[in-house]
Amino acid sequence: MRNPKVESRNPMETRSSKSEERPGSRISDFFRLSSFDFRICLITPTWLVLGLLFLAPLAIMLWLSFQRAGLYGAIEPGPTLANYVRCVEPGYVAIYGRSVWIAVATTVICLMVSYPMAYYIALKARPERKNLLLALVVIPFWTSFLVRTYAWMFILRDQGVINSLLMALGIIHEPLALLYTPLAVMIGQVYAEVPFMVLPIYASLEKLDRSLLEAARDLGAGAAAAFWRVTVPLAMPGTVAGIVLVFIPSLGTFITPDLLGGAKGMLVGNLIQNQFGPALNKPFGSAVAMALTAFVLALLWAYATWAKRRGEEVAL
Amino acid sequence: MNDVILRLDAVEKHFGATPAVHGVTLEIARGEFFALLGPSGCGKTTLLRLVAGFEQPDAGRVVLDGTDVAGVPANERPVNTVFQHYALFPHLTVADNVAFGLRYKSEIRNQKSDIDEMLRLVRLEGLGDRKPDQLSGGQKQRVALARALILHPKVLLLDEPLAALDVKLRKEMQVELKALQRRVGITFIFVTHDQEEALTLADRVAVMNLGKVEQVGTTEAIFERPWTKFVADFMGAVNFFDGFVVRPEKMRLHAAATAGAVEGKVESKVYQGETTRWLVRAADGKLLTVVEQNDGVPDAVSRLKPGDRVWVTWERRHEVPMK
Ligand SMILES: Nc1ncnc2c1ncn2[C@@H]1O[C@H](COP(=O)(O)OP(=O)(O)OP(=O)(O)O)[C@@H](O)[C@H]1O
Ligand SMILES: [Mg+2]
Repeated sequence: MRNPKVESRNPMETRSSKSEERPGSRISDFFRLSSFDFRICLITPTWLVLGLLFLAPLAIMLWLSFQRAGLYGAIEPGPTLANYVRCVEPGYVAIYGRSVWIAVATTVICLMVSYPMAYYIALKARPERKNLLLALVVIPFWTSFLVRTYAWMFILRDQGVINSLLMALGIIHEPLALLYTPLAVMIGQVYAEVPFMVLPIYASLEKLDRSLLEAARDLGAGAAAAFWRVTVPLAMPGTVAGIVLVFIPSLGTFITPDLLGGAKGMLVGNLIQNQFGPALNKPFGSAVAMALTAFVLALLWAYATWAKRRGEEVAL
Repeated sequence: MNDVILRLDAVEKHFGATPAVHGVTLEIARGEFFALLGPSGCGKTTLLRLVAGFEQPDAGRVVLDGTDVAGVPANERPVNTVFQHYALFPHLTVADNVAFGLRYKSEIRNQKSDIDEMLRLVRLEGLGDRKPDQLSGGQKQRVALARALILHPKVLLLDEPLAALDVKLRKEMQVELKALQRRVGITFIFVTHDQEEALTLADRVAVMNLGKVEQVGTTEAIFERPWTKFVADFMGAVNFFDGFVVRPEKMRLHAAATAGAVEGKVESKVYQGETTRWLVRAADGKLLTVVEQNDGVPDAVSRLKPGDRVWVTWERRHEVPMK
């Protein structure tokens, strides 16, 4: 039992509410006194970056999407809804369908690959090994994404690593058509996105209080039941973050389908890129981009509503 | 003992070179409130985990209600634990926490009435819909108890369940815990490093030191008749002499020379409310601790100051023999 008198004389050592109310005695009071200017200073770079690099382009695109396309990429004044009407033409809807399908499949496969990885690193690996394993997850980022996607072309093409190996072993006699297929796009996507799934799931599993798992076992739950009733729900924030981080970029991806998917594999990302590039139709490209953004926001909103109704915390 | 619910037989558990539990043999009776008392790191938690099934002994046997539980996983042992930091499931409501283990019990399958009754028993009625982070420390403690007791374990293991509470609440919970144990009649094994808590709650106590049980006995036996210097010291009997020990509150101070007294000088005095604790340096250099009851009326003894000469006496019958 400690002497309360001794404690209160040493406010820096305790975190009791009493010592925090004492004016002028803590560093935080210094910040509070000059708080207004100080906080503005701190937040300004964030607003500058967000405003210039994110909000302004978004506003320009929104404006563009209501203009008309002229000859040779010229922009003629609107306003018009024609671009949005064109968005829902069947040919384009098929592209959206394919994009959603690829994004969903990528996300599901990433989840199935990443969960065991994150689980192993967070809960099973020896502590001194963890940093090494995490580094291995992150190492691909040291090389340009473009270079890594080209590497996949060399692995998957007819004379590539896989086909040469299988033919040398006599398992196949004709090269398998791997490159320029949906499978190739999926492989490239999953490969690119796995770290974005592993890291948030790892972070929430790492925070998991092990004694909760023991408590579950103690109350009679087997290993599987403890996993489904304790680990999975408590790692849900990280899992949702991973799903969002993988699904959204996958929906808009254009490099992977461009390089690994070939001409038939066009996705919505390629469509938008084309309109800004060879097709010289920025207004239509902007309309598709805005529609895609609206679709993603609608999905996030639907999820947040559903989660809130179930009484879960949502941090999106 | 005729009705033994738990028997530990020369149980041994090492972590690397450290013996966490070393040759522990214990018998605990059905319905008993048993305390494991000892300083930090003496192996109390490890012993509980061996019983709960989170650790396997290197040697020796754990026999639960007549059955050797070697190799039986934690989830299949008829034993439940109240964890030191409660380990409540933060994503579940109080009621769902309490109901967590019910589905693994074929006899009692998610009976809402059982849950309500258990919440009433631990005085949490009306809080079933709260999440754990909306509860006070004492309330969390009760959820942890309810969650374990609803499964009617043969033995309830409690690992320093009150350590995180403030002093006043701890005293209240001690009373409540004792009453609860009487009411449900379940065997409690209670870990603590607080000797006063062990004495207040338990029927019998095992004092542990460095992985070994130094002494097992009723609270009175442990307090009045310690076998070893360690137990005596841990129970606050700190005045060691050749072959015996005397508790500080059994010694008397005198301001004038008294027949058969040990003469010394007051080294320090600490006022503790009900009592005053004196340190006296005897003529032979030995430091004696004397605790005097305060009666509020100043007398020759209470006016003594550090440096004053003083005489210490005690009665022969208060000498506890010790090697
Ligand atoms: N998993 C483990 N790995 C290695 N050593 C351990 C492990 N668990 C316990 N020990 C060691 O075993 C000894 C007993 O630990 P234990 O946790 O049982 O002590 P305790 O009596 O519960 O202490 P406290 O009162 O501090 O909780 C300590 O020396 C501890 O360092
Ligand atoms: Mg412990």
